[in-house]
Formats: sequence, structure tokens, C-alpha cells
Amino acid sequence: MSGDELRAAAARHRVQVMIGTALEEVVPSPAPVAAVIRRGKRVRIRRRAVVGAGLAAVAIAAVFGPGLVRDVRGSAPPSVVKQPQVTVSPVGRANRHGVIANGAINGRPWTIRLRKMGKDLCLGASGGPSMGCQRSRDFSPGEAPVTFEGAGGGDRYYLAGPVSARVSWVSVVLSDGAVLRLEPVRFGSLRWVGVMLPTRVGLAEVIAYSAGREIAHAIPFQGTHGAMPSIVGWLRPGQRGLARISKLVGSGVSAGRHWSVTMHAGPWGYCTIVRVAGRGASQGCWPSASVVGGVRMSSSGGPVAGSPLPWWSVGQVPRSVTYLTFVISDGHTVRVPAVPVGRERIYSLVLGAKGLRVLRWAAHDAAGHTISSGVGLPNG
Amino acid sequence: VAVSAQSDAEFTEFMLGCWPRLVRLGYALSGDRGFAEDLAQSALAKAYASWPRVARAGNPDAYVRQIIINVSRDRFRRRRVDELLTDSPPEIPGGECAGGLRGLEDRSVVLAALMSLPAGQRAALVLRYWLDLTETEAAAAMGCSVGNVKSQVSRALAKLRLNTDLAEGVLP
Repeated sequence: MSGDELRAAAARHRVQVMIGTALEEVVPSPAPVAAVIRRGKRVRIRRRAVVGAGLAAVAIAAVFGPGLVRDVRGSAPPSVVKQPQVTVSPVGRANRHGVIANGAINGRPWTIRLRKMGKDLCLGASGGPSMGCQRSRDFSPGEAPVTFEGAGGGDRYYLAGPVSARVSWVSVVLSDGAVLRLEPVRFGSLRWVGVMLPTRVGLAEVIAYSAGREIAHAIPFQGTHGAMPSIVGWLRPGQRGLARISKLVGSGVSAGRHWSVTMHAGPWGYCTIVRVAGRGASQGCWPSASVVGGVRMSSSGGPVAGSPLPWWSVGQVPRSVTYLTFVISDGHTVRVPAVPVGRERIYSLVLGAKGLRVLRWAAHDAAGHTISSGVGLPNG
Repeated sequence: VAVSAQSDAEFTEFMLGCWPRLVRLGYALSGDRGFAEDLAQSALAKAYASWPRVARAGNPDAYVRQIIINVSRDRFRRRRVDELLTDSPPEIPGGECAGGLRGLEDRSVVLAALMSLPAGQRAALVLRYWLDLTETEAAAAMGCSVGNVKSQVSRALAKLRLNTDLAEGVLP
């Protein structure tokens, strides 16, 4: 590819990201499948009526009799609408075998279970594509009503985790309006809930109840089509959380690939999507309540799966910070803006070459004064 | 009954997968959310009416997309004045562009800029850049020549470059 072609491709990618980011904020209402099918059947009937009328006219002309006209309404196909149907069943005695949740998707059964592996707990699921097993030494309900872990593949994914002591049950509201009730099941010293969902049906809300009263709700973030929802921030009953806003906080070319970092603030908290051209996207979230003073590393990681980029980092800084400088191990200093998103400012940094690392950082105000500085990454 | 149920299930799968994208396409072309959802519903209803044939052809996405493009094009032909619709007042980006970072965009600014373009230019830009169609595919979808698509895209970009709200360096 020539230099001109590369530049043109880069420019095209920037416009694509710009338009795509803007349009992602157009959140459609749930897909009205039943209404569309009803409307489609009416279209089909009208078409048949037109064809039927044409045939009838020919027949009438031929035999001077009306008897050949079909009753097209009578020939309409039977109405069978099959939405993805998710059910959750009581676990009952299966709990003895580590089952914490079970149910079915369109009649295909699924099970989520826990196993003890030495000192670890292993969370796994069956009834979908192979999801393997997640180990964790640190399963803990913490402060959140439910601390979800999840895994997915193919056309379904599961979410499961321990609930805090005060939670008596959890409601999961799907984007098609269906509501699933999850009853906690005890395993070891904790109580657990879990559910398996089709990737095509979004997760609209999770609500935790205590003795019949809502104690908290969470709006998940589902950034890219088919991505698992992230649930990190919980809101009090009636609390609306942050207003929804999306912003491209950085983009560029590293290691020959275009990348972009988009920040999505909303009732879920803050989520970043790091996209690398041709290599997919990586999503990271944190609750808005975690932002307290000082320069704070909120999300860092990378690379995006399969990406040639060795490292990326996104962080939150106080409103007074307008830009940060990073001294990189190859001697360069990189200056990145702190972009206002919601109530915070966000910076993003992507390093293109392997082996590079950040030696020092400094946060500056609009006048260029250093507000804070440190070695390595901020809070890293 | 079994065939019909299977066909409905396939259509449902298809619709759930493409619904957000189709609504966004309708919105990008029309600038009107309500109209965009109506448009997507009508296009999908037409696809449902001929579902076995549409599914057999192998590219139901393109079929529905084409209906949306046609209907919104006809709508623009009927309308003389384009509305400028934004959800919220644009926020002024306060950051700076430096180092390896190129642009700072507020979606409302981008959407407003997009909606300020004439319908033809906006359609060409959306089809070429957002849907990533080739010039030939975009021309076929818009029912015009390849040259026309090129000039519409070029004019659209030129107009966006004049928009001072869009961060410098983002546009080619």
C-alpha cells in the first residue's frame, strides 16, 4: 500500500469511527418482532389478494363465473411467533451437585454450577457452546448486591455471582420486556444467582430486592453487538445515575493499525471501548462512585485480543487536569489531553511498540502547572 | 405449521440481530428517530412477507437496507427543507489534540454536522464510510452513478471540514 493509500485509509477509518460513535448513541426501542410479523402477514395477504384478483379476473373472463376466486384470508398461514424464550427453573435438590441455576433457552436446557477445586471455586456452565470454567480465589459479594462473573461464546452467555446477605432475590429485565426472577442458592458460605441468556436479547436492567423491597438496580453496558454486558455500578431505587454521553477520547495509528478509544458514560458508570482496526474491540467499565480526587487509574489493560498493540491505558483525572505527559522508556514524552466526559476528564494512551513502558507521568492544568506527578502509571 | 414456525424463528433471529443497525441507518439518512423506527419496521415487514425468497437469496441484510435507502430517498425528494435535530445542545470539547491523539468529538456535534448535510451528501457519506460500501455498491444503492457518489462524498467532507465544532485533524 502506498503512502497516499495509507493516508486515505486512515482518514476513512477516522470518519467511520466518528459517524459510528455518534450513531451508537441512537438507542432504538426493543425490536417489535410480533408487530412486524403481524404487519408482514398483512403485506403477504394483500399481495396474495392482488394475485388472486388477477387470477379471478382471468377465470371470470374465461368461464363467466365467480366460483374460482379463492378466499385468500382463509389461506393465510397459521400464526406462530417464536421469540427467544428464556426460562429459569427452581434448582431444588440439584443444588447438592453444585447447581446454582438452571433453565432453558427456546427449550434447550442450561445449567450453571460451582465446583471446588482445592482452595478455588470453579464457575462453569453447560447447555451452550463450550464456556470452560472460571476460577477465582476471590469470590466475594463485597459491597455490591450481586458481583457478577460471566462468560460467553456462540449465541449465548451466562452471568453468575454471589449476592450480599441482604438480597432476597434478583430480577433480570431483558430488552424484549421479559422479567426473570433469580432466587439465590447457597453453595459453601455464600448465596449465588445465575442466568444464561441469548446474545441477541439485550439485558436492560438488574434489580436486587430485600424482603420484597427494591434495594438497588443496575443498568448494564453493552457496548458492541454481541458483547457481554458489563455490570459494575449499582444505583439506589429511583436514582438515575449519570446522563448518557459518548465521546471519542483518542485515536491514532500505532504499529500500522488504526485504534480509537471511546468513552461511554451513563447509568452504568464509565465504560471504554478500545477498537483496533481489523482486530476487534475491548471493553472495560468502572462505577462512577469510584472516582474520588487525585489522578486515578481507572482502567488499564491490553492488548485487545490478537492486537499487535502491546499496551493501552485509560484513566480518569480531576476536572482541573487538562492534559498529561508521559515519559516513555524510549526517551520520548507523549502529551495526551484529558477530555471532559460527563463529570470527569478521561485520558487515553496507546503505546505502539513492544517493550515500551511508561517511566514517569505528570498531570497539568490549563496554565501548564503540574498538579501531580509520579513514577510509572498514575495509581498503576 | 412446522415450516412456518421455523421460518418465523429464523426471521425473529434475523430481526433481533439487525434491528439496532437498521434503526441507526434510518436515523442517519433521515435525522428523525420516530421515522427511522417506522422505516425499519416497514422494511422488515416487507422482508417477512417474502421471507423464504429473501432468505434463500442469501443476503437479507442488503434487501432490507435497500428498502430503507429507497424509502428515505423518496421521502427526501418530497421534503424541501431538512430539519436539524439534535438530542442535546453540543458540548464544547475542552481538551487539546497532541501527541498520537487526533480528535475529540462530541456525538451531538457530529450528529448535528451530519444532519446539516443535504440528504444526498449525507446518504453517500453514510453508505461509503459507515456501512463501508464500495463506490459501486453505494451508487447501486442510491440509484445514481459512481461519479455522483464520489462528488457527493467529496462535497460532504468539504462541508464538514468547514464546521469549526469538529476537531481539527479528524477529517481527511
